[in-house]
Amino acid sequence: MEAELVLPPTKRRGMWPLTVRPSGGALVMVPLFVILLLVDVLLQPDILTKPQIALTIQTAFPLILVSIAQCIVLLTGGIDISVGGTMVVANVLTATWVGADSGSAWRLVLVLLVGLILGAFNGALVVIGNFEPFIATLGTWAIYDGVALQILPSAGGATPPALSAWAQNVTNFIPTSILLLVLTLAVWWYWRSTNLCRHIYSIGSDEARARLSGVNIGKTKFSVYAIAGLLAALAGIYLALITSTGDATLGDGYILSSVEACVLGGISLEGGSGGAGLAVAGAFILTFIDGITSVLVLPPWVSIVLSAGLLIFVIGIRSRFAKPT
Amino acid sequence: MPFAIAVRMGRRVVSAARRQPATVGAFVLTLVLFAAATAHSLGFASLSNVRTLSIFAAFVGLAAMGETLVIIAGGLDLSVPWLIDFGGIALSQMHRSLHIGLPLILLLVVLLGMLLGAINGLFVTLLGAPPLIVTLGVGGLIEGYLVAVGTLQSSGDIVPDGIERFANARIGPLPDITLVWLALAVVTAFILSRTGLGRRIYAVGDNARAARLAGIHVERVRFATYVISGATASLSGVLLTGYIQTAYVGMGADYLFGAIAAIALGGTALLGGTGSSWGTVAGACTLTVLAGLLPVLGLNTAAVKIVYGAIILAGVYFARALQKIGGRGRGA
Repeated sequence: MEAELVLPPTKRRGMWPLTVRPSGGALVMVPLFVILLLVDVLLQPDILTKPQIALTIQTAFPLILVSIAQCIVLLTGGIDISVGGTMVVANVLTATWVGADSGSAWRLVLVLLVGLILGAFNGALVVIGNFEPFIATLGTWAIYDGVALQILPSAGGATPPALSAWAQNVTNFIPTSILLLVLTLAVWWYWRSTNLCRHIYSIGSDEARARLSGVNIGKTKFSVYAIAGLLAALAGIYLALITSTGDATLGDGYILSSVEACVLGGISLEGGSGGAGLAVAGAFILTFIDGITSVLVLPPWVSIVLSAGLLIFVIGIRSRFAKPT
Repeated sequence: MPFAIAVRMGRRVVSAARRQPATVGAFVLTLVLFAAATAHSLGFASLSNVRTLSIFAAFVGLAAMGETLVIIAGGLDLSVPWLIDFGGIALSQMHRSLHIGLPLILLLVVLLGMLLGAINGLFVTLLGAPPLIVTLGVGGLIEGYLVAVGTLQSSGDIVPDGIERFANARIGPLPDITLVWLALAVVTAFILSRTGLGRRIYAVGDNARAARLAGIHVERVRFATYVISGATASLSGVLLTGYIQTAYVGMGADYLFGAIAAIALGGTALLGGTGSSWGTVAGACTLTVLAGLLPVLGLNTAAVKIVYGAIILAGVYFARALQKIGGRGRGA
């Protein structure tokens, strides 16, 4: 805990998101993205067809959503380890409570609400309970995972057929996954101009200053965790729809991957810099790496070492050349 | 004469307890959970069960011991699970391929663990990178190396006899493993409360800027904590392998959650600056008893997870409340 020294605040990483000024993180991410994309395309030339692109986006989309959720939490200087738990709760609810009865597809709205509430609980722990985000979300992760496991002990269930078919479609004129991705980015682009988003960035770059400027820190942080829960739930619902089944064990992998995606995308773990676009890019980088390693049929240890090494490399470069605080 | 000594020791314990109320709280919670478990099933309090519990508490406690120092200094070491894997697998591999005595193998494994910890420390201090990601990355590198080394044959002499015997031996009622853990806990507590390094660890965790201005070499202190974490985690892996008589990638996976929960339950703030080694010991005891209690109550896996998470949240909340009310936060 930093006691307050009588020094002027020196963190100057704030940015008003209305201007399209790229954050420093993008400088590392862009070449990484381009290189990996090219390599992946060279190794799998047939990935450039529209259905294949749609399929790639479809597989990556749950991670994209969870990474965006993680991104907004990271922007406030926190972290959300329970995103995996919220995700699987929504996932299994979709496969059981919503189920294959087309008439009950409306329940998905309530499932989203559940996600919002689970996220809000995190927010309450952090803001009201004054828990550190790491330990609060560590605890809620266990709870949410347990809840999901209780609802659906083993993979199965069924999802609304019409909605699932639509989600899995890759052959429309505008395939569903591409449409959803564009929609997500559009929503983010609009949301950047809202007050809430501005407050998030100001808290992340200098919390003391933000407080002095009248930003309601508690309300902002609370909202961030709630929205993260909502996005994680959306990811869980989507995953259930594209696989037509529910699985309570799938969440854990997304937690670390979402943090990795944010780091690879160039988002700072201390907050204040980065955005959903970078999170999306980071998620795609992870997807490209997956594609490359599976095509090259590398021994498992190579892909493990490569992704770990890449992570260290990226964070190292970013930290080494970050503006001093 | 002995009475005077006892009184003096008693006074020391009491004053230490007053400074670290969360530790006391965690021990009390342990007893409460233990009583609940025994009330439900008398066999819980049997000597053999307590012994088993103390062994698993030792595994968590050892993994968490170095981590406590890292966290107090304001860092975080997420590579602990793979350090544990490394400890066990390296022990087994060296035993099979190198023909040197067991003590030398042990020394080598711990030294290599310290080296891995040093890698963590170097990345964190030289690059200034956030420990969360860096230690995860290093953990991944360790994992990759262990996977590359290949799966162990399941037959034959995986674990050196000496370790196996040690892991199952006892001195009096206490298993050797538990004794090792408690002995190291005393050493760690001593380091934290009585040495310059300990004072510097608290200072760095509390306010790194102020510490630097006071002339403390912040990077060196943090580096040292990661090295120690590497040592204790790989030692934990060695003993774990000795006990379960196998070593595989992933055997340390559960111990990350456990270690951090134990540390938080013991009153150490994850942001650093406060906490104690005995707090982590108490937290490890609480967790182990909790983990033993829940299956006894007949809960299924899902319910166990839910209750586990809920109790950890409650425990951490009360630990922090206790710290605020009573302790000055540092020492032991």
